[in-house]
Amino acid sequence: MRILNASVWLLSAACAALLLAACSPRETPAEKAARNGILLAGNGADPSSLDPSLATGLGDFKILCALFEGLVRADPETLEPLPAVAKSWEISPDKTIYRFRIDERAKWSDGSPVLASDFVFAWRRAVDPVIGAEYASLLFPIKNAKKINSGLEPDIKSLGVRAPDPLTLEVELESPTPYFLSLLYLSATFPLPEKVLKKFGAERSRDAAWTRPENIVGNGPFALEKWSINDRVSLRRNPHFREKEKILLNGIEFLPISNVNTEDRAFRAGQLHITESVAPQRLDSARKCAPETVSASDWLGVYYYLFNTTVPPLDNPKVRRALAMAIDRRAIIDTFLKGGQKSAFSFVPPNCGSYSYSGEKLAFDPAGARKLLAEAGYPKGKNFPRISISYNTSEQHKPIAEAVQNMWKENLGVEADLYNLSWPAYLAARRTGDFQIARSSWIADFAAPESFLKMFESDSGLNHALWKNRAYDQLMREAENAPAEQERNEKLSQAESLLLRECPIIPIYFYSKICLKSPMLRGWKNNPLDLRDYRGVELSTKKEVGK
Amino acid sequence: MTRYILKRIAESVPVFLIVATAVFFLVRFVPGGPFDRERPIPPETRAALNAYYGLDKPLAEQYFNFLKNLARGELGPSYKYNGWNVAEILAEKSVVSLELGALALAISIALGLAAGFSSAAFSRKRLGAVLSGASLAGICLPAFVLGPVLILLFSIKLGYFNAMGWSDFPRDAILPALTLSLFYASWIARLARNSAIEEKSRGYVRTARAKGVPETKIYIVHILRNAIQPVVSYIGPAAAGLLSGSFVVETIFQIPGLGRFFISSALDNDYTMIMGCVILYAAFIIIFNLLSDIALAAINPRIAGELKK
Repeated sequence: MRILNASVWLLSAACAALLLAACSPRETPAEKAARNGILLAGNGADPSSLDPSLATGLGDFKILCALFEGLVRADPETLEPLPAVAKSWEISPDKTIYRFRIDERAKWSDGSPVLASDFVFAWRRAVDPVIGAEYASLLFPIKNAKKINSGLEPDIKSLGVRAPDPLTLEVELESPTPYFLSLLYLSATFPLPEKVLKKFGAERSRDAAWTRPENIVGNGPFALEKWSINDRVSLRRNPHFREKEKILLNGIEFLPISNVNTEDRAFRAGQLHITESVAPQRLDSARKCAPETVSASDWLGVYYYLFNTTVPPLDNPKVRRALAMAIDRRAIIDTFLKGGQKSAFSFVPPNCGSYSYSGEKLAFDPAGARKLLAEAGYPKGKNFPRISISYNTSEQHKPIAEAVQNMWKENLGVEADLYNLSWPAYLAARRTGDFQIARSSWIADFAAPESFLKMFESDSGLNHALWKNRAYDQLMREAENAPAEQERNEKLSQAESLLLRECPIIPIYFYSKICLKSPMLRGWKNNPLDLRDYRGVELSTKKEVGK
Repeated sequence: MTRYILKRIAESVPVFLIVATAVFFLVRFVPGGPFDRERPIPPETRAALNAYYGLDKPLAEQYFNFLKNLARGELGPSYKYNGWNVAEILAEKSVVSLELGALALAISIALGLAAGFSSAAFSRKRLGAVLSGASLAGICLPAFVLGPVLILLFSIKLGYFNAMGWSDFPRDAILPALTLSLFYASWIARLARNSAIEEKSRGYVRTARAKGVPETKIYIVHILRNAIQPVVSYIGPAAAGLLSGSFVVETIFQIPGLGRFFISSALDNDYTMIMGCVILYAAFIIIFNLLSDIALAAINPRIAGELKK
C-alpha cells in the first residue's frame, strides 16, 4: 500500500511539473535559428554526393545550388536566364556557338578568381567516361560530348568548350539547342576548382574526398561547414561570394528527413522553417489549423503509367487508349493527393516555357474507352487477358494503383493484378522490360517540352515503353532544327499529339510542389523547377511575424 | 574461464566467415544493381562504375578481395555515398546507436527488473496484476505508435523535447530511448516475474522461511539471484539489438544511427554497406552472447563449473 501511495504522489508531482513547464513558453529551435539567421530546411533525401559532376538526386542538387553557382541562373519566378558567373553572353547567328564573359567579381570560397578554365575543366571531367557521371548526358548538346562519353572519341580536349582568355568561355554545340541556357542551371554544368580536385586526385576519379567540409571549395553563396550522413548538412555564408550583399541568411541547415510524417512533426514542434513535402493525409488538417503555413505551386513533373508496348494486348494502340480514357484523374487527385495537383490529359505539364499543347487530349471518357476496346476485339472486356500493374513500394503509389485497377474493372471489365516491388527490383524490371504496365514519373531537368518529349525518341535510354515511331523521331529532329520558337513549338505539339494518339503512356496528374513554410521565412520564391535562389531570402523573428 | 573465452572467440571465427560469405553472395542475387537509377545510365557509364568499384572482376576474385579487405578491417567505399567509406560511416553512426542503445538498455533493465520483481512480490495483490498487465501492454504497443504519441505530447503540445534530431544529447535521447526500451523492459519484466514466481515455490525458499529468515532477505539473497538468470540470457541478444540501432525508432526521431542503414542500404543496393551492417550486427550478437554467458557464470557457480570443463 505504501508503494501505491508513493506511486500516486510521484505521478501527481510529475503531472504538476509538466503543467508548470507547459505554461512557460520555450524558444523553439526554429525561433532560435531565425534569431541567428540560420535557415532550417527539410531536404527530403540524404545527399549522396556533393561533387557537382556526380550528384544525381534532387536532395543533392538543392545543397549544390547553395554551394556553387553556374554561368547563368534562373529567374526565381519566371525561370528566364539571368547573369550569374557569366555577366553577359552572345549567341552566334546559327545558334551553335555561345560566348560567355565571366564576371571578374566571381571568386572561389578560398578567395581565388573563378576562371573560364574552371568550366572547361569541369565539363571535360563530367563527360570523361572514366568518371562514370550519371548526368553526363545533360552535356550532350555540346560538340563531341556524346562521342567522348561513349568512348568513340578518345581526345577529351575535342569537347566543344574553350577558354580563349581567362574571362571568356566559348561553347560550341552539335546543333542549335533552344534550351541550352536552361541546362546551365544544373549542377552538372557548374565550375570545379581544378587545383583542389588535382590536390585530392579527383581529376580523373570518382573519389570525392575533395567534397569533405575541410577540403571543399565552392563559388556559391554558402560554404560547407559540416556534412554528417543521415543527420545534417550545415552551410555558412561565403564571404567571397560575388553578390554577398544580396544574401541575407547567415547559414542553412539542410536536414535530410526522408519520412514525411517525421518532417511534419518536426515542423509542428518548431524545428524547421520549411519542409520538403507534406503527407497528403495531413493536408486537410494543416489547411484548417495553420493555412498560412501551406505553400503550393506548380511543379514541372508528371505522374504517369507506362505500357510495355511490345507485349500483347498492350501492343495495340486502341487498347492502350481505351485503358487511358477509362481513368478518372480528378477522383484520384481529390481522394488521395489533395495537394493542388492537376489532371494530366496530355504529357507535357503547363508552364513549360513558351510551349502550350492544344491538340487532342486523353480525356476521361468511359463510353469512348469501351468503344475503342470493342474495336480492338474485346467488347465489354470479353476475352481480355489479365494484365499487371507494377509499382514501387510507397504509401502513395499503392492507393492510386488500386483506384486504377477498380476503374478499369468498372469502366471496361478489365481485370488487373498489382505487383508491389522494392525500388531496385522495380527499376530492374523497368530497365529489362519485365513488366506490362508500370508506374512512372518524371520531373523536368529544364523548363522546356524537350525535357519530357525526348524521353520517347526511339533511341532514348528513358524510353521504357519500348515504343519506336519514326514519325515521332522525325518531328523531334525537325523541332530541334526549327529556326524560330513558334515553328519549334508547332513541331513539338505535333509530336505530343502523336504520342497521345499512340499512347505508350497514360499521363495521370501533373505535380504540384507542396510544403509547409513558416511565416518567419520571407522572400522565398516558388518556381516550377523548384530551383533555389537564396538571394533576398531572410528570416524574421517571432516578434516581427506578429506585427 | 580465459580458456573458455578464447575457445568461444575461436568458435565465432567460422560463424563470422559464414555470415560474411552468405551476405556477399546473397546481395548479388537481389534484383537490380547498385547503379539502377530513375534515370538509366548508358552502358559506358555502367562499365566505368563497375570498374571503379571492382564489380567488373570475376566473382571469385571479388570475394577474395572482400575477405582480404575484411581481414584488414576495410569494408570498401559506399556505393551510395560518393567519397565515403563504409567503415568510416559505420564507426561514426555506431557512436550514436551505442549512446541511444545503452540508455535504452539501462532503462529496459532497470524498469523491467523493478516491474517484474515487484509484480512477482505482489503477485496476489492489485499492484502485481497492474504491473503484469502493463508489461503485457508494453509488449503489444509498437514503437511506431508509442514514438509519435510521445512526440505529440512532449514535443508538440508541451515543447519539452525536440521532435527529432540528435543535436542535444542526452535531452534528444530521452523520448527515443523510452520508445525503444518499452518493449525490452516489458519483456524483461515478464521474464523476471515468471522466473521469480517459479523460484518462490521452490523447496529452498520454504526451508529458508522455516528457518525464520526474513522475507526481504529471502527475496534479495535467494530468489532474485536465481530468478535473474533467464533475464541475463535474454539481455545478451537484446543488447545486440538495442546497440545496433532500430530502423523504426531512428526514422520516427530522425536519429543518425546505424538502424536506418540496415534498410536503406538494401533499398539502394549499396552492396558494401549491406555487408558492413550485417557483419557488424553478427559481431554484436557474438560479443553480447559471450558477455551474457560470462555474466551467467558469475551468477551461477554451477554454470561456471561447466564452463571450466
